[in-house]
Amino acid sequence: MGNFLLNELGEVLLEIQSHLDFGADMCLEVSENSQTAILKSLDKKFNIDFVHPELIMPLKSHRYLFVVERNNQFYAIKSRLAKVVFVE
Amino acid sequence: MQANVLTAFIGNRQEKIKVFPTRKDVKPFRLDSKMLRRAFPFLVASAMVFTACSDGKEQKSENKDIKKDTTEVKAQTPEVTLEQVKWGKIYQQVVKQYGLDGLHDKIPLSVQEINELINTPQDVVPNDSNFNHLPASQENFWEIVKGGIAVVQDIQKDSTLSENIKQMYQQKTIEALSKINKAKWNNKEVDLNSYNTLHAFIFFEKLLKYQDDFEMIFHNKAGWIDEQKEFFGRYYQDHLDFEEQAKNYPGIELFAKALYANTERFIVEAKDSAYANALSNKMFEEWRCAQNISEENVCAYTDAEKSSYVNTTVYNNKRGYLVGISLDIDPKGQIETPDGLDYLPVGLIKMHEMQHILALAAKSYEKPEHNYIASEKSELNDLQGLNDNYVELGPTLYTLVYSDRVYKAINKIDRDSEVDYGVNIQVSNNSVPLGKIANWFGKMMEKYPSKSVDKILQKKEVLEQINAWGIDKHELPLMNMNNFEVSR
Repeated sequence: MGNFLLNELGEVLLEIQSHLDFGADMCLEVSENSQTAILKSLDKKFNIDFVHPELIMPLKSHRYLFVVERNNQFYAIKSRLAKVVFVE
Repeated sequence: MQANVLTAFIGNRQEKIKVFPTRKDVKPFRLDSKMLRRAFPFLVASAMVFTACSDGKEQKSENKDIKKDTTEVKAQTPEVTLEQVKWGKIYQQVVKQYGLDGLHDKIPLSVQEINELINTPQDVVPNDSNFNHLPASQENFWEIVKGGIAVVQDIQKDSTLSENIKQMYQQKTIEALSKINKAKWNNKEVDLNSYNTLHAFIFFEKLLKYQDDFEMIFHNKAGWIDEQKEFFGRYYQDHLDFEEQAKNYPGIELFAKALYANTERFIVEAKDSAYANALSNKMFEEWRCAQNISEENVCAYTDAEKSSYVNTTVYNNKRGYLVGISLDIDPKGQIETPDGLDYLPVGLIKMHEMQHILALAAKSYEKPEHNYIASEKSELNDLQGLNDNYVELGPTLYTLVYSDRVYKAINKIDRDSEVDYGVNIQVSNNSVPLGKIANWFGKMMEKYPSKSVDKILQKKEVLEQINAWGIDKHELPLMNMNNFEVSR
């Protein structure tokens, strides 16, 4: 379970549950054409199969995402900013 | 790796929040923001945290986009019941109060697991009824916990009890379940070494033993500290780790014994007690706040000249009795020593005894194999616990550092100066001035800041220095040759 969030001010929050090594080089590669994204950290990748078109604009307006790993429904164990990169 | 991701617009001024699934075949849906805030408080908090990182201009254009969005979609609301919201709130409070989010290697039970435990009729009749305060195995742990839940379920059906009492039982059960931890590397098993898990175990043991005897289960009086107090046993693992390491340094036990037995270490004079008590109480309050101990009155006040138990922690962890600590303090700072009544600023007495409470395990010293042995076996009540010399070392050094600071404040002496108290701690041929020890450990506390004194004691530099003070220098070559085995 995980959540990928935007607040009404346009801030973006990506939240994942699976174990991902939080490297210094985390980034979210978004493909506008295919409406998909990949979250990369060190040598691991998370595929996000579908990015809703309504989210493309908010994502474009942010250079970074706040990525949080939580260990249950209520609290986080670690967090890091990930760079947002648009690819073709 | 596949991320199961949802996306959402979330905000504190919106009544509805739009959630975007990451599957094309699932349409976005709206959730009541109040519900989401209650059920997923962390998510809202995290979203707010990010505010500082965003760009103002971009936010503005983004707002426009969101406000224009009037698409109505069919809701596929996750099943979040009111009951779950209520339990979730209690759970969240417990996680916060017990600092579970600071324990990065621990995973508490989820709300779903807790709900399942409470809502499933528990027909467990435990074979283990010896009230020995020791979860002997995973099976034994759950036997007691489920048995305790069964008691609470029966209490809910008891028409002779008031609604308030029933609610109290239920709420405390949720709180206790919320304290149960699993180790991150093994999330199938409960971590039986976690102090929070031990607290929960004691609570369910009490439920089983005392059933509807409300007073015995929720027993609470001044100076009584049990599993209801978060700090009880918070650092007991640190202390066990220190004891384990200290065994490799034979001088540590000898020095600890000599330091604690020397009553001349009470360096502040009784004639200065008015100022010293006030200053030390202030120091204690600062220390208590730094330790995140919310209870202001943790001790009972008594008179050292009348009471046989004073300025001490009386620890009860024997089977058949409640697990807890009596903490009685003389408000004037009088303490009973083998030489008669001595004086130690009262705030420092509280600090010293509280450190013991933080380092004591909320369990008995029985072994797992004792679990099904009958209580009549007298040796079970004579089990030796921790080594007193090791137990006293950290709190005594800590008290010495603060006594030194009080003395310097009274006599207007620079804090870094070494005071010659005319008192030495003598171990074999070694003689170490008290002022030197106080200054040195004060520096170690600053160099290795930790809320747990036993963590400071585990530093190599600290272990080696204390060992050097406790070992006869002439025996050092022998010690090295014999792998630290010293014949005396």
